[in-house]
Amino acid sequence: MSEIKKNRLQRISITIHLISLPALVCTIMTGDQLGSWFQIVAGTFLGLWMLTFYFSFNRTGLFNFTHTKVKNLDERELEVSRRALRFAYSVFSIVAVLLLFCIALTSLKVGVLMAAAMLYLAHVLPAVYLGWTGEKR
Amino acid sequence: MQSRKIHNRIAILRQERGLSRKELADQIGVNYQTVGYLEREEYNPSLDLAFRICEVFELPIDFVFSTSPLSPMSQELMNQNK
Repeated sequence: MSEIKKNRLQRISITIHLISLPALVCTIMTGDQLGSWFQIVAGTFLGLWMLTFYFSFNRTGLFNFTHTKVKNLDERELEVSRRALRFAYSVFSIVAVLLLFCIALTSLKVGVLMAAAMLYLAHVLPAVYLGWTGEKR
Repeated sequence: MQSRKIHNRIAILRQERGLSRKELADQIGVNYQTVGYLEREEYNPSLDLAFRICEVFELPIDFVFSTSPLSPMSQELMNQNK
């Protein structure tokens, strides 16, 4: 498979992953309104989320790379890791501030699920950057 | 600040000495993929790494690295003999 095609597939997988996470959280939070459809919808989003995590971050080793100890990285890998963390910090700050605005303006509740989703997002964003830009380890 | 591209002779020197990327990487203390990036001139090494590479090849730094494209080694030898 060509490098361009691989990168395109990777980006599609990352996009699905990033959409499926808030979709799953919203589905669980509004579970009562969905009735009998809840299990199917939640199952679909959970499946998509897990599958795209495997293909985008687990199989490629990106998630492990962004969680490698600094002492185990060489100077180029440190540079790549620094760029990814810088991107992740910027994006996570914006997402957190936007979420705070939404909570302040609406009656949105911050539950354990949302907190867990935000924690997960903070951990996965550096790998998202690496996967999206195609920067390899 | 946009850094300049640093040209090098790592690939040719490594092949000349019959070293694999992994062997060279182990000697200079980096991942073998970093050697690939250095050889393709996609990554500029730090001064420390540049010196370590030169120590492995036992050559002066200006012979291995340059800010301008490097001429083939055979041509340099010819120029020295003239």
